[in-house]
Amino acid sequence: MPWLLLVGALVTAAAGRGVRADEEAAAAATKPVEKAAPDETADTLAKQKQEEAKEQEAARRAADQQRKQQIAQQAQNMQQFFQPALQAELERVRKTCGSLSVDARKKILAAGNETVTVLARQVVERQFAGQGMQGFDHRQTIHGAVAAAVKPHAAAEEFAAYEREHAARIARRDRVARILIVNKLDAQLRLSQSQREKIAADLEKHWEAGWLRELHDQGMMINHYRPAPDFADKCIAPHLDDSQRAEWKQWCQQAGLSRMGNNGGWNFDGQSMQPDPWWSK
Amino acid sequence: MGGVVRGEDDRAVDDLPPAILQLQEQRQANRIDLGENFDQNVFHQAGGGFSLTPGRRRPSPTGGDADQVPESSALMVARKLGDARLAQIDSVCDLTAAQRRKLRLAMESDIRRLAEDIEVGRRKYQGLRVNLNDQEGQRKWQQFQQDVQHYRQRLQSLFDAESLLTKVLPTTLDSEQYARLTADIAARRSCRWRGLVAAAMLKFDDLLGLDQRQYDEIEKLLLEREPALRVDRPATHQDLNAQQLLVGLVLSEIDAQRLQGIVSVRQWQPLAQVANQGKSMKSYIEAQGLVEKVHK
Repeated sequence: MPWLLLVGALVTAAAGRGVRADEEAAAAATKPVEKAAPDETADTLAKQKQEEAKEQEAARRAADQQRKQQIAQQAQNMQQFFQPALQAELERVRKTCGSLSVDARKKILAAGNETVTVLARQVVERQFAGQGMQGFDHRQTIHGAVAAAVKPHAAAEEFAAYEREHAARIARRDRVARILIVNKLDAQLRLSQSQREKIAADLEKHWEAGWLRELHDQGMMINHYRPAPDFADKCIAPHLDDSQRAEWKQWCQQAGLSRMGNNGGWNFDGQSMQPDPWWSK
Repeated sequence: MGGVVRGEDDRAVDDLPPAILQLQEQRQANRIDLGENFDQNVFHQAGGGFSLTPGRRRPSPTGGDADQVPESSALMVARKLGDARLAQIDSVCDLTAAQRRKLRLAMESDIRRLAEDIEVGRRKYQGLRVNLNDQEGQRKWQQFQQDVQHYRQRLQSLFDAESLLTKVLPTTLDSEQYARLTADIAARRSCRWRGLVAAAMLKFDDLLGLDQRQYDEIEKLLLEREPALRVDRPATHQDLNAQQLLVGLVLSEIDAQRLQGIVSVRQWQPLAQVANQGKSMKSYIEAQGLVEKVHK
């Protein structure tokens, strides 16, 4: 009957294990739960925050990098729109400062191209920042940079001639703006010849540089009106009769340019002159 | 036999396969009623383009003239132009009541003639539905555009040199009034042309780097060739693109050698391009009605 003894031993062993398991469970139930130490929790949170901050910084840098690449790419494409103005400016330089040395021409050309690069970038950066084109005058910027490059190298009388041509060009632009203002007024208000002449004279007498914004009107319509040159009201209203003045007031209320802000810029229109080989000989 | 006898062709539409139904619907959708689009394109299409909206065939009345046209857009639009022209003449000449009456009669005669012409055109297309996807439909559509263009020009030139209104002016106004009117039109026309030339010269200045001498000479040549600009176009109908092209057209009529003597070889290339573009767009410029037809 040894097998009985074996079975009995096995049963006894199992029972013993069962008793021991119960004892252990009872002991565990009464033993208090161990909590994590406060220092460890704070550390974990801090590490988590650090990780998050790193990820955000990395994402910000990646977005910034992408933005810079886009700006660079678009600025590269934008340069072509400023080449006509540069070529025109160089044409004026050549006509007035024909005795420039080869070395000087190369420096002037480089200065002009550098300015075109900067201008293109400025336009794109403004666009990305959602800014308007207020105060942006690419013609003046190009002239300023080219003139600064020309002056050290040109004979005094030649440089003076160049600056005179520039001043004459500014005066022409002012004159064109006045003509266009009078034309626009005539189309809307039907002025008499006398009124056209008086308004033209008044505009010339009280002309302000900011009124060149009239040149930004490329035919847009606002509330079924052409933009009204209300910035020059003091030169216009006094010369109108009563019915014209009422119509002028209505027009300004509906489409006054001064209410629109000055976000006009520039328009590229027409074929540029080919680069002049004289500048790079 | 009590049942209904049906032949093959008595099948209801609903019995057609879906694919066939869909094809029929598509064909129906591509059919445009040119008559329904006539007035919109003649009178109300800004910028010289064309618009089409799918039209529905108007139900024919049971009696009388089919598709009777109410007082037409032609009369309304033309009368508006006439009133504006009369007001302009009055503002310069201070018309008497009798003069005003006589001019209005002449004006109404011009308007009636125009309305009759346009009615002929309208009836030609009344109820005409075309499929723009087939050759015949395309041909009719092109004809429609040509006819519409013709009537637009008729409307624009309503009171030009050939009109009764213009013809009776010298005999209706006294000599002093007529001189004032002529001078007013001439002055306004010059003002407008000076504006168009100024805008073009601004562009040339930017593109070509002109000096003062070159600017003055080119401007002078353009101002000397003032076309008979229409001066009674409303401010809202100023087509700047057509105006720029008109200056290019006039530039193309200046002796090229004379221009080449003013500018350098490099400056000539962009200038010639402007001239060529204007010249190539001559029929478009004429269609915009910028220039009046005058007696030569």
